[in-house]
Amino acid sequence: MSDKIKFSIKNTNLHYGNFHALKNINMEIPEKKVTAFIGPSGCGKSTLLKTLNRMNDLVEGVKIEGEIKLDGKDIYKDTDIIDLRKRVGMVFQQPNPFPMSIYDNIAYGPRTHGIKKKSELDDIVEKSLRDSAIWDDVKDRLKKNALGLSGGQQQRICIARALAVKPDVILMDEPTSALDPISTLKIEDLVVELKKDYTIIMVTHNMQQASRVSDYTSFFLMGEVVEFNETDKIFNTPQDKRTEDYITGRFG
Amino acid sequence: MRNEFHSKLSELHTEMMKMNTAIEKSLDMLISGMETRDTEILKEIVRRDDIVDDLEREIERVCINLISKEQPVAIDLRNLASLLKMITDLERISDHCTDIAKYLIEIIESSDRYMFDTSDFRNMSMIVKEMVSATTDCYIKSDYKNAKVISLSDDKIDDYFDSIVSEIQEAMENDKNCIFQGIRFLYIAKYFERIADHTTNICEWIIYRVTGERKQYN
Repeated sequence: MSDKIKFSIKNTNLHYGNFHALKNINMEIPEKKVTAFIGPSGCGKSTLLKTLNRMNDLVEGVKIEGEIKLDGKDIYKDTDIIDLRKRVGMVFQQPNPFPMSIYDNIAYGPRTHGIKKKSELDDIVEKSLRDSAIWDDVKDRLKKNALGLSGGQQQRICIARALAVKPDVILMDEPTSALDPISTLKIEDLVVELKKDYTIIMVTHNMQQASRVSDYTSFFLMGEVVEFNETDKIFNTPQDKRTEDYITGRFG
Repeated sequence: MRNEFHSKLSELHTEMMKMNTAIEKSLDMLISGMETRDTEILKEIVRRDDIVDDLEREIERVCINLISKEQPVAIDLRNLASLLKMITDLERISDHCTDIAKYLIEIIESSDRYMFDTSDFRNMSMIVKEMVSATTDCYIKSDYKNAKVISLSDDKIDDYFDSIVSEIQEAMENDKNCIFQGIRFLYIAKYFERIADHTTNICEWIIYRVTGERKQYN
């Protein structure tokens, strides 16, 4: 792997009480690429994703060991959590726009980070919506409530909201599982477009989606990373029998 | 679990075996027909080509259907992709058996004796038959190592081909009466050489199916 490393994960273990959810994870996630996490339910892929912007911190009984570095800095030791969340945005399975106007949804993050000037906010809102390929759909109704949009449009609003604070990394947790096939393809096209500027890490249950969209794929099983490699290699010639059995539907 | 898909895959392998078996039989009949000058056996080879054509079309139809409906990956995709390529080579081998049979029929019906020593043809056809049989065996056992060894025996066929061409050319230069048979025997030698090439292709696809690596041996 010759790409620049964004996240470096070393000997990372995570316990929820007595449950060992992540077992000695070692992975280097390249910058400005799409990395997909695949695996059966409960394998640890979403847990690892949430560990990357410390969303597991507040889970009761959680214990995290090891080292996770973002651009060489340990996110559990050397990084301010507000700064981390600004740099590592997240998009969830269910589109979850705030119950406010489209404009205010996108301006929410920048305002929180102290941007008050209207013209500056206008620019951020327009750029974020353009980069999320939804500007043309909503430019004439920015003051309308975001909840009035379709599911696919709402998800693109959520992506725009994540982009508005100028993150480096976007985490996506099954971002299309609640969407229809056309909206799904639009989000997939968007992900491919976004990787020019952002590092994207995506959990998906849709294996065709992982193979279509991602550059690298990591296969998880029972809290372990079984195989992490270029997506072409994972889907054409996986090295581990368990990966092959999973992606070909021989178990799961 | 994708039981239905995997049971369809194993049905495809059974069909592929039928294709292999049909071709091996045609090659046996070809060797025997050439030796005994029995045109009835040779005409039967021409008729048998339809069996292979029908099998090719059926395997192709099922493969395309499975790719479209199941979106296979990894070993499943390599199985289907290699099957699609191998059946094309097998169908060509069957065509070449038919071509050889037709030329032999013309030679036999035009004269009561061969004007060339057919021992090189016999040796060449025996090696080709062995290559095809061994390839079938490798396919069944997914034996990619032996597939590589088989593909290398293509060189022996090329040597026989070169030697036959020189011999026929010399005979035709010395005796114009040899030309009718000479031209047909040249074609026959070329078709045997092509069968060996197609067998090598099949070996390369067996290697790809097991390892995912595409290598060319001819």
